[in-house]
Parts: sequence; structure tokens; C-alpha cells
Amino acid sequence: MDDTEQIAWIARRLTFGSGLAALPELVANGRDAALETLLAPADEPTSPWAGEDIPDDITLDDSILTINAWLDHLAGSSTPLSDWTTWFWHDHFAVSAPQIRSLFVFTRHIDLLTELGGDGFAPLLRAVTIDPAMLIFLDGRRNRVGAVNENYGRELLELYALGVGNYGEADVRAAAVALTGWTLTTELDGSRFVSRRHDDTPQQLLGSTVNDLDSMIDAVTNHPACAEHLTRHMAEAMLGTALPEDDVRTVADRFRASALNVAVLRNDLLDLALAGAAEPVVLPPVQWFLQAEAVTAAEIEPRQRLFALRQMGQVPGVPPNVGGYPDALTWAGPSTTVGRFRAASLIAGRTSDDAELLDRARRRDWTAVAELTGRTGGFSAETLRALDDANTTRRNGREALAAVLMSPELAVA
Amino acid sequence: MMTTTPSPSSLPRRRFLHLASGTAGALALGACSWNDAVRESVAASTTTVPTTTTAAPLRATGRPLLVVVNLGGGNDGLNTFVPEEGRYRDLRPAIGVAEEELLDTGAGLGLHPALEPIHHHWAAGQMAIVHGLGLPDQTRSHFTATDVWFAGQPDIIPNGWLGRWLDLHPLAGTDPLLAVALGGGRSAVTGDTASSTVIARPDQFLLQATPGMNADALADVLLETAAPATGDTDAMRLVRQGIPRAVNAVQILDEIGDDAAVASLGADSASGLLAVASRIVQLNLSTEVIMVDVGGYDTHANQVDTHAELLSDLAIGIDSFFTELTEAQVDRDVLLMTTSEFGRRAQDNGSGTDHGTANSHLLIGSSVAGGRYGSNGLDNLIDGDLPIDIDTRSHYATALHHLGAEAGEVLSGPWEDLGII
Repeated sequence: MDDTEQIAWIARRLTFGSGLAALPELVANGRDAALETLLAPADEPTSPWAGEDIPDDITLDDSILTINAWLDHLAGSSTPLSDWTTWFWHDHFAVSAPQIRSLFVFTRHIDLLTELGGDGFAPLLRAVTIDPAMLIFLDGRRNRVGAVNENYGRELLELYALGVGNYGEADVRAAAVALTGWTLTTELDGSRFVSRRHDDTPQQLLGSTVNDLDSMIDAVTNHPACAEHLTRHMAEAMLGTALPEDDVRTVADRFRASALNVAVLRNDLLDLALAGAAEPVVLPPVQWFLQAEAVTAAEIEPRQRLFALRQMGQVPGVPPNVGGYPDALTWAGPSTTVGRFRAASLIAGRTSDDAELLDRARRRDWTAVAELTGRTGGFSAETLRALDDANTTRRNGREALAAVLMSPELAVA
Repeated sequence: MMTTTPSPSSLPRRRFLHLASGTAGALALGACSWNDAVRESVAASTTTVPTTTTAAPLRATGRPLLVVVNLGGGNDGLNTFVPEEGRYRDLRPAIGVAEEELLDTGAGLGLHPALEPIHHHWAAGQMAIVHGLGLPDQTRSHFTATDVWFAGQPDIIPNGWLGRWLDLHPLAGTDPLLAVALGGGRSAVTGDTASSTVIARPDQFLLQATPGMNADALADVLLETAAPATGDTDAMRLVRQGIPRAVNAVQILDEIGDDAAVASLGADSASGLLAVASRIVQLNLSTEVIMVDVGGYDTHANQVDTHAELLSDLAIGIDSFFTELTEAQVDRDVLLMTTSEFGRRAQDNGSGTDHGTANSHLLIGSSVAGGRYGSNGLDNLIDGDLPIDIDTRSHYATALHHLGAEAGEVLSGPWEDLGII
């Protein structure tokens, strides 16, 4: 990748639109300055809900406002890599706001992922394990001596830390028993340990003896499979493809040697990506939508935004199951494709009349359109032919813009 | 909740019938550039499309129909089909279904009261309950277990049991509507060569443009950007293939996508998706298999209320499905069966149940020999789990038998069906 391609790759893959909106300026300032702006900004990450009074229930109106604040935050982010990382952990832990039924608890969970997501994995996992959102989501609050609930213990080992094949049924049980006794505070603003609900019996977990939260976290995060499991997951998210196993071991070794410092893992994968190891992906709807808004400067009302995202199959805070958001096959499937059609039309219709992209589309200047949308490779012959042939794109500049937004090239990055 | 204002720029209805019923229908429509484009794009996205067929449109009248309802999360079969044995009460002190609430079957078990809408299918001898179902080395991971159940064998492979049935179908490759999946279940209906139509959310499923824009014209452009449906990367190929398939799928569901009755049931509920399935069958398309994939059955906690709601929605959906087809005088031999990635532990955990292994499932249809098949295994627990006595592949062989397919070929082995059909 040359300098411009690297900047555009970061803008399209690691930002939710903020990098694209600033793309001409980033390219003009040169690679080093652009990478610093995008990857190592001086700003500290902030909460999308700073200063807001978030309710502890989950009405539709409040949900729309809360998620919309998150979308605005992502779209205008001055710390895109931190936000990418938060989103990665949101997909990894996949807590569902509707299932925990409290926007207050959910937003604090996302803030926790932002606060701890870029440092050590062990403290992050410990915090998530007893986070009120997780205690509700996977029933940890009901896990007590005499009524052991395995829900969290199983997903901890399978999804969050080790992966299938690296633990047995006895380990699931042992992890669950070690976590008995943790429950929520009455105000839902934290967790508390109730010793009479805890089973203190020493358990054998992954070859270690554990009997509480800390020994359980140690046993899991010290397991050799932990670094590799996280490496594989973040590599897929960052590179859009499975990392070859030799590379997994190399990257995981460095990650392990750093005491599971997430920033080390992320930087190693970023280096691989900028060296050309990344494959194009079908953009998830949230990222596609915010990028389409960014390049058009269109303003969409909160309800319509959420409705459009729901139609495309991805609403922030609502992963469909404990495994996180779906994959490229879903994002290329009928529901998302149809949703993208409608959303592209909606965004083109709301684009400001003096927006440069609309002007270029009206003039059928597809080269400039490709540059403004971060398509460093331009459009394919098929898309150019379609854009050129169609009467609609001659007749109506907004339809031309809609056609650009729904094109395969903008769905892939 | 947002509602969508009907727009004059929505694609016209009725086009789908011509596409869905084969090329002859499209030819009969005459020179419609959009329809031709759809047809050509669909043709380009599949590998073996005959371009010269003049056969009459395929209609499904008289052909068997299979509906598979997958209860994602791991349904608790023991609280769905409740044993009369006293042992059940010992194992389920916190969440046992009260004896006086059970629906009588006269067969040593009671149905969960939420299944009242389908109780009459049992009374009519058209409902079978199969116990002890599972695959060898049944895993307790949702994802691995779902993968192997959808694959129809103990190892994860890149195709599903219904996809392999589709591969062997003489019309596979020419007709994307032979198998339709609603809600999810993609891997179950994916074959080596054949593709199915998978609709994650059938509600509001319209190619609709914002007022002032021409949806027809935009759909034309979109289809052209994806022709041919290839790409120099996997991602680009997927997106390009997805475009004609999406347009095609809209053609099916355009007719029912804004059906208020369907929408009111919830786009991702069993009753909502079964209502969509019912409409698809009533359109008399070529569809022979419909997969309905719903979630929510992972009831580790608060199971009593949650499970009752899920089963109620399921039972209402199933009964409405059969009732609507009967009222519409649809001449199809329908078999509906449930699946789920695993059962749940025999012993409750105080407010719900954790992941287990074997499970019980139902089959309903006019060809079904009603009754219980197999044993619930309560007297033979293995480390607290219900034992697997009947291989999932025998459950599938029963379904394949219903479809008139060679089960051995699809399931790579001589799996006997259960004699239920």
C-alpha cells in the first residue's frame, strides 16, 4: 500500500466515518501526520454519554436517544482507534442492551470497555466478569452456592478467553463455582460479593486450584490458549481474514510477553495490516452507514437512523446472540442488501445541496467521487458502466449519489 | 416504532411470481427490462442455469413441504414434554411445571400448558414426540452444537443437511426458492453447489426509495453494478452475488413484507416467521423446504416465565400455520418438525437450566403417526444429563423420507427413519 492507500485503509476500516470526512485533509498532510491523527491522537477517549442522565430502564424513546448519542460519538470521534477497540470488545463480550433492560447499566458497560479496553486483558476480564451488565446478561447474579449457574463460566472459557477445545466440562463448572456470590448493588451501579452465597470449596480449573474471582481470572488468563484466542479474534476484526497459524503464534507470543497488553496486540496487527496482510471485508452496517453519512454530510433524524440500521440488521447494543454480530455472509445477504438500498436512498435524499460529493456525482465525475469516498482503487468497470449507462444518474444527481452509496465498492473496504 | 410511508416509488408487486416460477413466466411477461435484468443476474450468480427452458412454471401443488423450526439456544425438552415420573419433580424443584397445569396426552407425559394451541394435533394423532435425540459427542457450545446440528453430522463441514438435499434436487441451481430460510439457519440450507434464499428479517422487506427517487431505476443500476456477480476478492464477490439474490428475495416477500398481520407478530418471533412461511406456501411457489430459525431458548435463569412465553408463541405460530393452509385449501402434505442445538440439564439450577445434551422434539403433520418415540431417559441419566438414544440423523431421515429423498445419500449413511411418516 502507498501512503494514500494506507490513510484511506485506516479511514475506511478503523473509523466510523470520522477518518473519511477528513480524508482530503489527512492525505494533504502526509502519511506520518495522518497516522498520528488517526492512531495516536493527543485526545483522551471520552464517554458518548458524558454528563447525560441515563435512565435505568429501556423505553424505545430513551433507547433511540442513547444509541444515537453513541453513533454521533463514533462519527465525530477524535480517538478513532480507541473507539474501534471499544467496538471490538462490545462485539467480543456482546452484551445486549435489551436483555439487560437498563440503559444506565449498558452505557456504563460500554464506558468500562473504553476505559480498560486498551490496556491489560486480565484487568479488563476481571472487571467485565463482575460488571453489572454482565452479571445480568449471563446470570452471574443468580450464581450462588447450591444453585450454580454455568452460563457465564461457559462463555468465559469458550468465547471470551480460550476457545472450544481448550477446556472441559469440569472447567466450566469450576469457573462457575469460583464465581458464586457476586451480585449487583441495589442501585445497579456496581457489584458486591456476598460471602454467604459463595462456595469456597477449592476447584480444579485448567490445572490450577481456584476458589474465588481473582484466582479464577489468573488461571484463565495464564492459560497458553488465552493469548492465541484473543489474537485470532482481533486479527479477524483488524485484518478481515484468519491470520496464518504461524503468525498467530508469533503475535500471541509477544502479546503474552507483554502480560496481555491489548495495545501491543493491536499495534502488531496494525503493522501487519499496513504491510498488506489485510483482506477486504464487507463493511458491517453501522460502519457503512456512518461512513455514508460522513462523506455526504447528510443529517438523518435519530429515529430514521435507527430504523435504517435495524433494517440492515445491526443496531449498536443489540448483538443477536452471545457470539456477537454476524459475519460477512449476513452483511452481503438479502436483508442487509435491501436495507442498504433504502439507506443509500435516504442518505442521498438528505445530503446538503452544496455537498461536494453530490456536486461531483451530478457532474458524473466518478474519479473524484471515488477519492472522496476513500476508494483509492476507483470503481470497477461494471459499476462505472452502470453509473454511466443509467438514465437515472443523468437525470437526477441525488439518484446518482444514491447509486454510488449502494454500489458494491462502498459496501466493501 | 417507525412506520414506513408507502411510497409510489416502491417496486411494483407481482413481478416475483414470474421470476419465482421459472424462466417461462418471465418470458411470458414480455420485454420488461427490469425483470430481464433480474433473471439474467440470478442466472449469472448461479452456475448451472439453463437459458433455453420453456417448461411450464413449476407449481408446488401436491408436492410435500417440510418446515423445520429451529429453537435456538437449546430448548428445555423436559419442561416442554413433561414426564409423569416422580423423578421429574425431584430434578425440577424450582421450575417444574405444576402437574395440574399439564395438558394430558394419555401417554405418560403432559404437554406444557403453553402448548394448548397444538394440543389438538396430538388428540388427532398427528403429532409425534421423539425423545433422546442428539449427535455423538454432543457439545454444549451453542455455536459448535448449532453447526453440527445444521450440518447433520458430528463434524463441522461447510454444508448443511438441507443444503445437501438441495444439491441432489433436479431443480437445484435453477430455482433459488426450493429452500427458504427465515430468521437464520443459513448453514443448514447451504449446499455444495446449490444456494437458498435466506431472509434474516422478512418485515419491511421492500426495495423502497426515498420520495423523489425512482426505485425501479435505482434497482436497475444496482443490478448492473453486480453483473457479472464476480469479484477479485471474496468480499466483493459476496456483495455482488448478494445483490441479485436480494432483488430476487424481494420479489418473493414484496407481496407479504408489509402484511400488517405478519408485522404485528414480530419479525423475529416464531409466530411472525411462521406467518411469513404460511404466506410463502399460499403463494404456491416452488418452495419445498422452509427453515424458521428463532432464538431465546437459552433459559439459564427466569425460565418459568420466559419458556412459557416462547412456547406459547411457538404453539400459536404452528397452529396458525396449519389453520391458514387448511383455510386456503393448500394442497400440500406438510411436515413440521423442531430442532435445537442441545437439550438442557435434567436438574434445574434454581431458576433455570444449564446446557445439556439429549432432547425431545415434535413432528406435526397429516402423514405423521402420532405418539411417543423413544424414552425420555429420566431413569438412565449420565452425569446428570439425559442419554442420547436416537441419532439426530434418524430425525432428519424421517424428514427426508417425507420429501421423497434418499436419506442415505444426504446423510452419508444408512440412517433409518423412525417410521413416523
